[in-house]
Amino acid sequence: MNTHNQYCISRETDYTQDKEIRKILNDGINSETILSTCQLIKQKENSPVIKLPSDIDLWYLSGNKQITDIIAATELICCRDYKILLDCIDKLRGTPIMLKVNGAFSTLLSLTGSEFLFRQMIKSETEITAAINRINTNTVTFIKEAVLHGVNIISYADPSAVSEVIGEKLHYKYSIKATYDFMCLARPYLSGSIMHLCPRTSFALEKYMLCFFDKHHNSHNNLINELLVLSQCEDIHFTGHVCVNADKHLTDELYILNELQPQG
Amino acid sequence: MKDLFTQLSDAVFNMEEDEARKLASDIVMNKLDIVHAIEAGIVVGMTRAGEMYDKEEYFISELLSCADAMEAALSILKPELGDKEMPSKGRIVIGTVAGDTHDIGKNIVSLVLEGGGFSVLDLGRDVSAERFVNAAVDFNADIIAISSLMTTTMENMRDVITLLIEKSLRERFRVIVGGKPLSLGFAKRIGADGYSSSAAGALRLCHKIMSNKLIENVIRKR
Repeated sequence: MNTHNQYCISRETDYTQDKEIRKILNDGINSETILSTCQLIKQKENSPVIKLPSDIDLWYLSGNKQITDIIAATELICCRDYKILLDCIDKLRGTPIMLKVNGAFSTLLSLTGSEFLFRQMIKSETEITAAINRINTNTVTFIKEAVLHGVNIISYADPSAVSEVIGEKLHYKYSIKATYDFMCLARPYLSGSIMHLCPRTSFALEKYMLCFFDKHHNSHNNLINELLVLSQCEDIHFTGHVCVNADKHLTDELYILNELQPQG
Repeated sequence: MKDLFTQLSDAVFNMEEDEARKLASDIVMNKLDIVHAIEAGIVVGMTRAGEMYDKEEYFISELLSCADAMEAALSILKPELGDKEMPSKGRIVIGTVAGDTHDIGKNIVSLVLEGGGFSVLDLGRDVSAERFVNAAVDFNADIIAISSLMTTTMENMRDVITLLIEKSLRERFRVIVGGKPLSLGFAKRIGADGYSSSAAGALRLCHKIMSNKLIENVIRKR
């Protein structure tokens, strides 16, 4: 059974197993090692942006151990110091930056492990919902700072929330609705940047009629370059339906969020 | 009014951990047959849950919650077995094939087989052919169940069967395989005895294998 968005996960796994990257990260997590890693990935992908993962410090903070307590895991996620990442952004001034942000469900799961969280999803609905709301608020606070420090693109995905595994009902509750809430919270702080949603998430948002996307012609024939241009448009905040990690895009189209449907 | 065994089956199926524990205590207090309680209550409940999982009406969280209800009831019933052994429909070693670290699907099959009344030894993931074979011998297994999620690792399943042949153990164990990229054709090509694409299907397959094994033993003794 496929429990994650396999394409992106295996791509990330390749990086975490890459000898050069491991060698750098063995020196610990600090702005220098994070930036060296990101530069290496930029070269490997021949990407126009630096991709900065916002959760790179989490496993180190947890001591590489799975935390089987929702409140403790949430505390660790929400009480961490984002100084290192903001320092990275400052050092990259002038370089286009894509901040990679995971949905609250995937962030929580990265610390608790899938079996524990899957077990609690029915039993501890209130605790998990509260944890997701808190992680969302915390992430938005960080994004607000990150945008002020110069992040151009926020790449959002919730790779561990797969409806075929957890069922549509729980997928909607813990991932799709949580993403919608996250977008509502983040929107006021995205000026000068743009949030791109993983197509698995953006299509699901449309499926549940939480928002709709309009077709947009990608004149640069390069998704990331187009996103950098769109990040300067004051009235465009969210895009989706195409994958930023794909090596080649089959179409020259991009989809821009038309409207967030009012909550009801 | 449903009997206590049926109520226990319902509690397991409905993920009611506290209710399952209470019903197990009632069964003990009423001095009912513990072996029958496990078979007619827990095994039936988990088998129903496995079938719902295959129909995509239950998902992984529901199945794990059913397993928790099963464990809650077993924690009361097991100590009451005394000298009697836990009823077992057969012995299975299960694991994900060498090179493959995906284990959620395998864990679900393991859960359904255990809930379905089999004694299961879960070897985890990235299991070498040697470990499969040695564990099957040590555990006195009837069946070796191998899982693979990736096309790049599924060929490694053949190594387990090759090693069984090399060690002259092929006749002793039935080998079943499963996993997303697999098919019945692939299972036949590598010489496996069975294939299932689902957890409840794996349970049915193991039941069928054990029935056939029983018939073969009877014929052999004659």
